[in-house]
Amino acid sequence: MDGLSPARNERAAQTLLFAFLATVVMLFAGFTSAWLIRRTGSDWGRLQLPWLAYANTAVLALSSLTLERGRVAARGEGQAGAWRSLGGTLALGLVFLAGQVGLWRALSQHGAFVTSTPQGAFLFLLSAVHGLHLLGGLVALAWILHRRAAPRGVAVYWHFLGLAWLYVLGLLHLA
Amino acid sequence: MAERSGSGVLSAPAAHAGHAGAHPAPRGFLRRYVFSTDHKVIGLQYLVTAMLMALVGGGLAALIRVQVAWPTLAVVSPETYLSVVTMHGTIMVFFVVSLALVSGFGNFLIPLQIGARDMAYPLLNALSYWTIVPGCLLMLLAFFVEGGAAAAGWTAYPPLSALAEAVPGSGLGQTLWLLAMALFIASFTMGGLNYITTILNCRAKGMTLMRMPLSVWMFFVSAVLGVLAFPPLTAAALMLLGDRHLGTSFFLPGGLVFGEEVLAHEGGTPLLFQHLFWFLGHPEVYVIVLPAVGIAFDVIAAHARRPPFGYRISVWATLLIAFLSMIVWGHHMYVSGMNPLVGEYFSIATVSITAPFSVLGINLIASLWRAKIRFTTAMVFALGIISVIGTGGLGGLYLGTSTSDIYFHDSYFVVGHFHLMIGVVTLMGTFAACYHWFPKMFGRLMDERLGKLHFWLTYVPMMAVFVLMHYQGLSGMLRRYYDHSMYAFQAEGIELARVISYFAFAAIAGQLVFLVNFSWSALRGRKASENPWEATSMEWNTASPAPHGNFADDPVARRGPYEYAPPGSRQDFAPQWTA
Repeated sequence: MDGLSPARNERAAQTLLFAFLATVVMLFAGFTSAWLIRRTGSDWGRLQLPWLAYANTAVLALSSLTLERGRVAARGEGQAGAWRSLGGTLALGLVFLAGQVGLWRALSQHGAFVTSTPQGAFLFLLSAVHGLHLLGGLVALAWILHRRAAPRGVAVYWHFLGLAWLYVLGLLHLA
Repeated sequence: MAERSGSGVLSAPAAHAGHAGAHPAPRGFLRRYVFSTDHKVIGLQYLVTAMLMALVGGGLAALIRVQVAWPTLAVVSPETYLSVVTMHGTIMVFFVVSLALVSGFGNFLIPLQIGARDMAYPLLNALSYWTIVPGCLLMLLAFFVEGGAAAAGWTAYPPLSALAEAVPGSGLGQTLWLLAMALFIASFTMGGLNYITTILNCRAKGMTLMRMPLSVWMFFVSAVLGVLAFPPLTAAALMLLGDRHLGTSFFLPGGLVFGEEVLAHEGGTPLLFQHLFWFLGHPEVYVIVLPAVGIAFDVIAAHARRPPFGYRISVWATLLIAFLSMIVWGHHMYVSGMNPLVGEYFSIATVSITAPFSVLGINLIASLWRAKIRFTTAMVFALGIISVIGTGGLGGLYLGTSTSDIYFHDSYFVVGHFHLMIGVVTLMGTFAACYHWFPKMFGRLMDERLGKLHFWLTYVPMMAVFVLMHYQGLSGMLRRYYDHSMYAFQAEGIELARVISYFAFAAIAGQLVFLVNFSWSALRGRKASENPWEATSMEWNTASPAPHGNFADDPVARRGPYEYAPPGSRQDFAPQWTA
């Protein structure tokens, strides 16, 4: 039985990826509108983010860089280097997720978490949703490493999640 | 990026194995009929699942009609009545109509009609179905837990849905409702992504976008709407779970008192949930109505023996409807205390949908101009759709405008209107599709006499039920009341409620005729040829029932999907696939 040509398969994968990203954008749009409405509440204050939030952001940015290096290397001859870089992204992704859990602990120790402030509740929810999507990215990355497959789609997804985290951080800075 | 394929070992084709229908015919009962990845089997699985859920949803409808018409019988308690209304709405909108029409026929028809061998991602398709099965089970399980099923309405407005202690159904029943809905949304999103990917990438050679049947166009627009509109509801559901189980205050304001105790919530607003809910809720109407309209176009063309009027205009009108449907959600909230200027905006935007929607209606009617109508069961259901859209749409004008909606809000006028649009139109679309495409499912034809009986037992009683409800609404009768006789201003409406109930029972009985016809015809119906309706679109270019892989050879689309009565031809149709 004939399936689609590789070029068409590639296009289908791209369509699927971008349509999925559209759903994620709409999910965060939903949270954003909730944020905009909720911030008019009487109990809205300022949230002081601990340094860990920025350290985590740096780790995520670094993971995007290593992934990009891996993606470029995978296209050429430097295959071994490509796997090393992608492995690095996998490790940094795990560090980021662990860091996010650390961030939750730090915030709850400072009394600015789920039930104590509305911003804390938003931070928890948004970082949890973002983390779950990132976890999906890690599984895809592990699969790519296992199958030695092209990391193009995963790269787009990963960079997108990096931008999404920057967006969440920006939202949290809006008083 | 496609041109890079093949450079470097990383682009090994193994990465894409399993895509795009490239799978051999499965062997063994389980792989063929249960855990199948064939789009036709999955489509039928959705259809049968929806039929089973419809038995529950229809049973609940009967209970509602008994309670409303004969309140002194008290067939259910007031608390249970709220659960019954909630579950009827939820099951019918999401687990019957969406499943049968969008998931069922979408799956069955899209690959066949665009000349593809399967969905772009068959495994994702199977996963989507097997996600909805536990969703259905969880939704039904809610009837048997302590406190009973969810009772906050199908819209799940907080605080009823956010406080576990609010009413009996707000406890475990509501949690199960949320979990079941999460599974539904996950399944529906997977399906929508697959539809979009398949339609954009897997069309046969020559099958340009403007050569796709209108049903495929409508499934496409419906999938795009679903994929964009459901995520904000997911966000709302997650926040609701936070309010219910983590003690957050997204939707719960301060000062709520339960018993003697002031609750700890502070600063949230229930209106926020309403906005997020209706941002999905309104496009959802079009997610399920548009496929029914698309099916009406296809069926009418084949049985009226002429192309639909204004194909291109219909496509553009549909796209415009889709866009407008995403910016009008506020018309469900005119009485929520919104700024009159905002209400004015929502009124204008809502009423402007009438223009493109009327274009679709007029095109459907104009498609009958000088037609040689064959009054098959599929055709009469399709004609019925035009009539119901006209009647139901008229009520929409009054509800879309804030000045009149403020009077009609929460009355039976609303119940009558939305049942016509998202209940009767979609059901008749599903039935038209069943009768029309039955040969491709089972290689047999449904019984026409039983079919006609089914039509009259559907169209007349359902129109009577929901048109009469408009009059109840006009007289001031309100929805969701357990016993209208307790209120002097509503007591008079009970006489009419009894008449409505008799019609409703007839309509429900009519559906049993359909179930008998469907089951009997699947096993014993008259054998169908490859193209029994002498239709022109691609799905008739294969055996009945359609085999695994759909087509013997790679099909090529050589013309548009509706070449009926072509000039200079001896036969009155020119199929899409013939040279």
